[in-house]
Amino acid sequence: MDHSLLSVKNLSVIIQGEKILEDISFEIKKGENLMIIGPNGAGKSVLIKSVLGFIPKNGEVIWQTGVKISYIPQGFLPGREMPITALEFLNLKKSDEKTKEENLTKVGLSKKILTKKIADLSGGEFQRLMIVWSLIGNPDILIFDEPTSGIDVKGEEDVYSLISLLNKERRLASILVTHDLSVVQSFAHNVLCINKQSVCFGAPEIALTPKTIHDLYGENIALYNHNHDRK
Amino acid sequence: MIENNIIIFVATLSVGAISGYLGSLLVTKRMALVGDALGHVALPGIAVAILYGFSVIEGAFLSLALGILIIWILEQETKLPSEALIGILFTVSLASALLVIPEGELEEALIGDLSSITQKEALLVILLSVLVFIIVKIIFKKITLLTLSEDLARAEGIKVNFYKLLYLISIGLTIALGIKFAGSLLVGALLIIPAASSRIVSNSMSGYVYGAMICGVLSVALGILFSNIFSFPAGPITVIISALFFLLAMAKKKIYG
Repeated sequence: MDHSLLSVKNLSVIIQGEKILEDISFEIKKGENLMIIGPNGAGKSVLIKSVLGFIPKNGEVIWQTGVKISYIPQGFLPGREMPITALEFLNLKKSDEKTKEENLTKVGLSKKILTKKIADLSGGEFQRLMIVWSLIGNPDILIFDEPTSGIDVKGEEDVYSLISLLNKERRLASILVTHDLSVVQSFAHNVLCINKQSVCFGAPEIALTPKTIHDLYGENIALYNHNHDRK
Repeated sequence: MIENNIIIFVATLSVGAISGYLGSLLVTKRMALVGDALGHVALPGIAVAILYGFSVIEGAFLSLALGILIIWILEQETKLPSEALIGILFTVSLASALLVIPEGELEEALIGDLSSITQKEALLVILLSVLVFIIVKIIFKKITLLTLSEDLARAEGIKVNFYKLLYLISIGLTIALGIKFAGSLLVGALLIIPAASSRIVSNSMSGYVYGAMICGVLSVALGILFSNIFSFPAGPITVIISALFFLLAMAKKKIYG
């Protein structure tokens, strides 16, 4: 049995006297895809940042020793103020040419985009570039805070399928924060539902019941299995 | 005498070059006015230097270093954005300097005076410009990532606060080096205008950075040339020339896209 890459127990975060997160527990192993869902202001990004050690927390966060983490923050969309090309951007991180090219092919980007300014890339191209970025250095786990904000449904599907493929092929673990319940059912091994507190954790088909959805969003949101081909 | 002039000329060109270089990272996000405002923060130091008879450059840098440290600490301690803090600091600096600096020397402090630069100061400017350039070149990638996203930089293990401080100190040093040439009111323009002009026409980071440096050097060189021909003060005419480069860049963008 695999040991956990990350194990979190009874994590709480208090910011300026306000309880943002309370008593969150979950774990993730090699090759697993964990998705975190919850309404706006549920503390999803705070959870990620506290687990990464960017903000102070209470409780237990245990990373496997020597684990390599790649993290892409929420809403990271470089503005037009910096005329940086895709290649120059990737070069901000140390990597050899070969891995870079392999990863570009892997995510389905042509080498042509390397000379384009990142501000000129489409939403989908940019997200793929960010996956290339996050694969540099051969991480054990990818942490993406809303990887598909700002891209269309087709692009969104592609990004999730790609990460799913990486889960299988490279035994790469991933933690993805998302709004989209349908992708959780299609791609997640485990789902963590939070609304300041933990509402559910486990395999989506077991954890995501009409009751947990109601507890999470406070209203009746229809839960149905998307057939993604129909879109 | 000619030799002396050449050294001063080279010194001002190197200030033009590093201003463009550092300015290229400043003209992003909300940082653009920092360079401008920091020029004013130099004033109390200039005042002290004038009163006690030591070099204006040293006085300016001491007061900038203090100002930057205050901004850096307050930014971490309070929730106010750094522009607000800089806004407070720079108006207070300006006010206190206006009270203290003797009227005869005020113009020099505000818009600079090329003829007041001594050979020793010029050599110091060249040496420190090279030093600033080397330091910033070493940390350039980290600062670029930091400017794109602090969270992303933090995720790469970059000590965000440390590099921010290092970068701000380099800016402070650059401003101090340019203060005798352009004065505290105009020195910020050397950081902002060449970088802004280059950004308009650049398609890559390297083109942008080198463009800003070249534009900075050309503005200063032409500024000194015109100030000699028409006996304008060098600082203001340099700013006007760099603004013309900005217009040219806009025109080029408009015509060629």
